[in-house]
Amino acid sequence: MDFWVVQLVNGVSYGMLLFLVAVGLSLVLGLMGYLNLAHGVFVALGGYIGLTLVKARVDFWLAVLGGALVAMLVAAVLQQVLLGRFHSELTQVLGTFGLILIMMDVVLIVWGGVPETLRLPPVLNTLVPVLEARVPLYRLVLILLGTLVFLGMWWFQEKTPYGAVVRAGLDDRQMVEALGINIGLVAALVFVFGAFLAGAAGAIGAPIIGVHPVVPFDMLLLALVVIVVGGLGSIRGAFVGALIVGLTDNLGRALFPHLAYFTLFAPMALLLVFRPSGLFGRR
Amino acid sequence: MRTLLLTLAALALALALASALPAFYRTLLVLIAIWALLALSVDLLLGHTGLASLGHGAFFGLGGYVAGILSVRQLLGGAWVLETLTAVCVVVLFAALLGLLVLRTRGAYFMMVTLAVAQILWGAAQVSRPLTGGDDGLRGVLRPDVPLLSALPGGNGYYYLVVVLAVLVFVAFRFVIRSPFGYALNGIRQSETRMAALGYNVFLYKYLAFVLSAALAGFAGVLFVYYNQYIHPNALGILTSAQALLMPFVGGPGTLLGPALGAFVVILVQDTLAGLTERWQLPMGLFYIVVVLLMPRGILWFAASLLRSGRWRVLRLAKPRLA
Repeated sequence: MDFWVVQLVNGVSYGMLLFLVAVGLSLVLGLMGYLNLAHGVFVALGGYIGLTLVKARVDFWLAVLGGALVAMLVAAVLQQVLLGRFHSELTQVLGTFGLILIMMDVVLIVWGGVPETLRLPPVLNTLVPVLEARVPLYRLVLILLGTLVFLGMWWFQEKTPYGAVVRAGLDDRQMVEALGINIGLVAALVFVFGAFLAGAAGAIGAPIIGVHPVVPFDMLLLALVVIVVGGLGSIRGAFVGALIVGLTDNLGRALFPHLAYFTLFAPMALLLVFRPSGLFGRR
Repeated sequence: MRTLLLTLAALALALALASALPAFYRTLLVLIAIWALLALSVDLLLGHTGLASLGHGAFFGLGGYVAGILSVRQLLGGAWVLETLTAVCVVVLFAALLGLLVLRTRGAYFMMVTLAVAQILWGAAQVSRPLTGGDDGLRGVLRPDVPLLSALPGGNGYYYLVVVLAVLVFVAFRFVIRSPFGYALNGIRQSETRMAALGYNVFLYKYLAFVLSAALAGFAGVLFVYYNQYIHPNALGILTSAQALLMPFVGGPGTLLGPALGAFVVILVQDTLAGLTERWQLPMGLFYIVVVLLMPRGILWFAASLLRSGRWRVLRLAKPRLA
């Protein structure tokens, strides 16, 4: 019993991290068809900045904010200077892959390649009883945070006029442009916001998954699987997909450590067979 | 007859070139030949069928690992022909199953799914240490011994074997893309709906191209593991896949020599950078970006547009086009 409670909490909280990482990538892909392989770099950047700030005795949540803001800033600069110059899908993929190589080397030069974990403040670093098990308080905070971000984004997209523009852009970009809305600007804002969330996820996740140079690739893989499962360009899809992937990945690692990565393949393969556009995909 | 003579001429030329080069450059030439085969396999999908795969490392690495494990454990008595055939068969089987899944997607989605599959294999190779050696890689793979060819300068028959096999594959590849099958693939790249309207079974053609391409990638992987006598999970990973996609892109997708030229340029650049500095990733990343920005249709097209000459048609450059 305790085993399952702990695994459930771990899986769901991990899923929340994946949601924060994947939602920006998914929305930009849906809006502009832009596949940004370097998205995982924002996660790594957020994690490293957060780590550095915490080591400099900055408050934990301020460090998270710092990591997210730096990731956002870098994303905004890249978006303006470089990313807009890649026009076809192929050039986007190769160009952003080149960007990963550059950024990873920069990260190595600045922070070195040793994996590190961020130490939590004592307030958060406690166990609380849930049913018969004792689970880390931090995991519960993560679940709460992820759910709040999801509800906030969902409310924004479904209930506000700005969200309506994003929804319309996901459905028919040319029509939105014809109505005189600068969809490029909308997509740029979504991109930068997505990088903010990814950077925050990097710092928030640092006490759990650590920060190391492979983070960009690991996170890219997980985000891609989340999008395939949940469906492209959908906030709900990213949330449900992230929960499914978080739970299966976590359970897989706990139950069959030697098949860890294959348990990621299972949900993706099932979705490709029965619903190639994902659970909540638009196409 | 003409093809046969051309093949023999190409073989003689390649062997002469390989034996005339100093040892260091011969090694490099062999590495380029292996990567050229991988680039060619990617281009069967990219330049001819119009599918950009970001997961060819999966087939490359799988072929390499199967052959490597067979060789290290001496499961087939060290017979390299059998090891190669088994490895390619495993890759074909894997691709035949995978193709049913991933070919249900297209465009960016296809890239995402192929990339995810390759990364999953990469992770699996890292985790299953008893079989693959995990992050330490698989050591002790034995190179095939080729009696006849080892009489050539350098005494390493395997290098010449790769050169011979590469030339033969190129000839066979030319044969495939000039066949009705190859023309149908090019038709699919230009317009799937039109080909469907003409009565072609588009899925079947794409599926066959996918499996054939995977088989070639797996074959390149086998040659690669013998070349290095070692294989690391990174052979399966995104670095390999992206590099394999960059090569035909650099050379000129949809041309016969483009992928080989791309392999030549990319490996040369990478080798030079790796020789100059430990931080080769940063300049390599810059290289990716510069290529994408300056030559979005490849070197051959770039050169042709500079020269504006009709003679370049020899390289089948009439209409190179991106997917």
